[in-house]
Amino acid sequence: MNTYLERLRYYQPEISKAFLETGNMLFFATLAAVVIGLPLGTLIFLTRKNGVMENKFFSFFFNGYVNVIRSFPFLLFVVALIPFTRFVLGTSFGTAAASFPLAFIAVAIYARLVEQTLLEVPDEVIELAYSLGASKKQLVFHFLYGEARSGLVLSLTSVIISMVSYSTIMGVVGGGGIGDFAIRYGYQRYESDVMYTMIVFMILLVMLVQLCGTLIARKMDKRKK
Amino acid sequence: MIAFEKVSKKFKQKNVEIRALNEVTLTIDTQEVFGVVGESGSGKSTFLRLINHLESPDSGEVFVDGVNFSLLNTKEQRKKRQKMGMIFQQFNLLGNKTVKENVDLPLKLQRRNEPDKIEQMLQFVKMAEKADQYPSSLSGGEKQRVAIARALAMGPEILLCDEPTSALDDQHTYEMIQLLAEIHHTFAATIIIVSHELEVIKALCNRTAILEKGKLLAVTSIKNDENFTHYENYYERVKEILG
Ligand SMILES: Nc1ncnc2c1ncn2[C@@H]1O[C@H](COP(=O)(O)OP(=O)(O)OP(=O)(O)O)[C@@H](O)[C@H]1O
Ligand SMILES: [Mg+2]
Repeated sequence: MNTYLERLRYYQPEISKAFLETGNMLFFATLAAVVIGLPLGTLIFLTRKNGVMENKFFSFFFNGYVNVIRSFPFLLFVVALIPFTRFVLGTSFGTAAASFPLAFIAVAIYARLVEQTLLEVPDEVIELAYSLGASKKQLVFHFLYGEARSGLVLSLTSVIISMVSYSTIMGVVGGGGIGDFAIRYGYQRYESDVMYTMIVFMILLVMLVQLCGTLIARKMDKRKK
Repeated sequence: MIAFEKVSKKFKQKNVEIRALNEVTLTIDTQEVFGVVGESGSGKSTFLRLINHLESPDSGEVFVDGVNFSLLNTKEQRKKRQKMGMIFQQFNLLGNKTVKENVDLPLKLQRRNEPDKIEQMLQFVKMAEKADQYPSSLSGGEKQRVAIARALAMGPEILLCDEPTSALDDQHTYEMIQLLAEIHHTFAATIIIVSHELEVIKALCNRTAILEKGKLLAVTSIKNDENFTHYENYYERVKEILG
């Protein structure tokens, strides 16, 4: 037991660094999900057949992006994206480079979840927006997002949690992070106690994210008693 | 004045064409309370939605105060629609907004900030005390009153009501009839009421259109007012009706 604690203390700087790296990757992926995934999901919802802005071409294009990215085996996606990552960021190695493919995935997953969440908004809400002479923009911001807000938060929570899992393999491009740390010490150096500790940390992280998401969503949802 | 001239509207449902409205011609006078009755699927809602151009006619023309909606651009259509209030069978309140915010919605869409107006409308429908509550905590009748306050907030010249009492119980229906009558007196709006409840139409309307399978069977005048007795409260009314 003593030696376990001593080892943890010994590794503490590296563990902190790993947490910071995971935090970084999650932050950029989540940011991309909100800034790009939310509008993309909204556009998928609006341009769908019988949608508010029905448009076959855009619908096909947006859905295509989401479907292709989501069906790509993740590890292959990361590797396949390396030239592009290098082109955009100047490097294909390190935490920033690892955030890049994660961001693509986060955007695709969140876009799909946003679409599904918006599909659950009752038709009456859209009917009301029309009858009040709302513009398309007002329809989205005053009506759809307002009524779907708790679902949007819960979906984002799911995306963040998926990203925790996806981020564990970012060691292949030097992304670091908790998962990478656990693999290096547990798998490659047989220090399984360190590995299990990191896994427990990750589980705690996921639980914390879920707890926050659920609480915020519940606080926002005024639709039921 | 609202005028329908040979208005037809078709819908396609799985390759089957449905004539929701078939060459309907009629006029509704300014400040009239006009009813629309007919069986389910006879085209009542379609008729109403043609007035504020939520649906556009396939053939024929709809004029509101001489203006044909179809000839306006999208922005002008929205402007014109904002001058018409609409109330729905299912109330269509936004569940994540308070009573006050729901009433404020039409004003907000026009970037108008008029808290006095909201207060005044809530007073009118007797919902001022519940201004900060959410719709989920209201009864059906209360919800519909909030929806009416919302429809009135922009000072509509025309009020379109689609089955306004169908989701309400007997007493709330009675209160709704009183409220609509009061609106007609106070705001001098043209009111169009779609309903399958003939008592509602009889109590409120001067004339009513009768639709069947999209066809206008007739427009008939109604003798009203005298038929509609005012009771002080629920107890008085129960005593009178049951006693
Ligand atoms: N958006 C639509 N798409 C396809 N069919 C429609 C649409 N709207 C209405 N219809 C059809 O047109 C017909 C008339 O519909 P409408 O809603 O006007 O009837 P209604 O008299 O209001 O009926 P209810 O009393 O049930 O509300 C119905 O057969 C309906 O199924
Ligand atoms: Mg109807």
